[in-house]
Amino acid sequence: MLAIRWLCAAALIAALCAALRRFAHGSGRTSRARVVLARYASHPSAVIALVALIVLYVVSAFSPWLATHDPIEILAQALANHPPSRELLFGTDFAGRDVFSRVLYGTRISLSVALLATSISVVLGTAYGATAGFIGGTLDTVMMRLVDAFLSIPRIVLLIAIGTLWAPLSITSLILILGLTAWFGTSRLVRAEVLSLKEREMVAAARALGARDLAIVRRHLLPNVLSPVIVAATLGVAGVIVNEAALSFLGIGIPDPTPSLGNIIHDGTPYLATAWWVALFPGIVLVITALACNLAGDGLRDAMDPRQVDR
Amino acid sequence: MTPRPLLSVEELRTYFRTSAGVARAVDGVSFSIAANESVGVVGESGCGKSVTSLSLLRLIQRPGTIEPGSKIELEGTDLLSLDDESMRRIRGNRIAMIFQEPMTALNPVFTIGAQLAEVPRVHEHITRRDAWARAVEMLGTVGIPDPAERAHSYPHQLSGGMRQRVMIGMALMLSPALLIADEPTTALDVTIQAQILELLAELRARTAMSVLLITHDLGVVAESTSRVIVMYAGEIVEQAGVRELFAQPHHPYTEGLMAAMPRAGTKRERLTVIPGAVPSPYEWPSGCRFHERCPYAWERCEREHPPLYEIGVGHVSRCHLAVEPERRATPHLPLAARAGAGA
Repeated sequence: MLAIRWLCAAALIAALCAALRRFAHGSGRTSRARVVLARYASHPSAVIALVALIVLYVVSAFSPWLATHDPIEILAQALANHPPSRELLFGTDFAGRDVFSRVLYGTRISLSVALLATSISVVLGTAYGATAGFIGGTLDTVMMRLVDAFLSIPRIVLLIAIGTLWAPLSITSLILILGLTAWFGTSRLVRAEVLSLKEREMVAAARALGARDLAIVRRHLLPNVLSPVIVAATLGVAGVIVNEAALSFLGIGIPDPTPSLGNIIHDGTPYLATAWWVALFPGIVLVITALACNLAGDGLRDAMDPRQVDR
Repeated sequence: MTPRPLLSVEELRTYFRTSAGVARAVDGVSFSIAANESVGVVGESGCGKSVTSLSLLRLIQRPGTIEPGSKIELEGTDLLSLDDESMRRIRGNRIAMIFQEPMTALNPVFTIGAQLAEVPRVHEHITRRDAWARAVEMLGTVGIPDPAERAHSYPHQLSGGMRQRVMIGMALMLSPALLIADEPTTALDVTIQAQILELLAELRARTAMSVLLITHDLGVVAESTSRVIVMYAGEIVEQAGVRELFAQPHHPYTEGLMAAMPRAGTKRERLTVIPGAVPSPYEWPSGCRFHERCPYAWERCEREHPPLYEIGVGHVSRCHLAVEPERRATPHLPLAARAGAGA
């Protein structure tokens, strides 16, 4: 039964990869997306990272289907800290819960939290940075000094402070807090891009043809900051995953018994000497996820480099 | 009676008030353009020609302002009294502008068809499909081969000349009455330059459009305009029909510009240059603004700012030589050259 599920998942991934490849090398007009994709495909590490991310995402999306046990159910007190076996792939934790299933569900929650939090931070950071950069003047100065002030506080300290103040956090508020503390860098990046873009002749040309300010932002500025924003977002996901894990590890993130990569590691830490599997497997997944995000981000940055516009 | 001109500019003053002082970039410029006429504006960098053209569209950015007392009238409408929304509707519709650098003037993330199709959509209610059809038609008009297919190209897939054609097409989408071309050929190869100028002339002949061609290249002006305005230090220093100007340049600055033009077939060791540089707009020289660089300058030029003297039919020159022509016989080393030699 389990084998069939895995096979289906594998088939899905294979189909996705094939579609991607066909799109990149397809005949007909060369679009920018295609150029970027073809250039991305020439980075082996980035391709591996992308495949790893897709696998992680698909696997976690299908976790109710792929899990061998209920992630919250205590199998049996006697089965606590049971080492990995054929039946219990990653063993069990101190409470006798199946670590494999918990890691699957935990990955899903960690990824969802990271994606949603990053979306919030990207939208907020882009809007904030574009406003400051486009309007400029005193408003820009005030807005950016505010960002400088926030950036001067180490993020994890800020998160711990907020987390302990409003503990226990629901998943929604955790997403909000992670998102609302992650946009400062993006806003700076977008502002800098907008400042240089708005001096380009295309903006003057658009104005000379009667374009409104909003149309200039929408047609000329935002599409052109998209590449660096996507790169920043990819790298941002890695940061948010690690931060969420850190908060959960410290016991102020996602509350027990809901699994997240961070709190599974937290549960396993006291038993590291005797039941190493509890912390090790989610740890590996965490490292792979963060690494894959970073590598994919690096690959995207190279692929989208505007200085390499020609094929 | 002469018909009312399409555009008339009177006493245009565009100043930039900065912490370093007031830069009087355009300082009292008056001229007019008739319907379907092609007028050239020449001068060195920094003489105010680009600021003049941007002023016509009211696209001067802070800290620049068009000073009160200036007047710009297009088809009988006083542009300087229009509210921002009405002015926005003039841009593209009645006056359009093309720029020097066709690479940075196009948006790299959209196809050229999409960029052309966007222009009418800014001003009119028109379906996407109709706008696209007009974009393709316009690409054909400006000489892009296979326009239906080419409309799907991105700017980076086109050559410089093609991109400039696209820019011209974009500017002409709404059939403006006046096209301002700010150094349209400066960034292009010489052979492509000729093609672009030819295209502009052809489009002007086919429509009722007027062209204001801004350039530092007298050769470009000679080929494609009927009347020339020479600008120096924020002012018009000479204005004449193109033949008259080339046959009998009056202002020593115009003379200098012509002498500095490289000519094929003539043997010269070095190109002639006008000594010195355009003075700073923060502090124009007293008297005639050109006197430090002028080989004929005398005391009067240091003291007295010359008016635009009428020296022929439709020919004006801002030079005291108009009243003391005998001074032309005795050129000397200009002040700027002497200072340079002494340093």
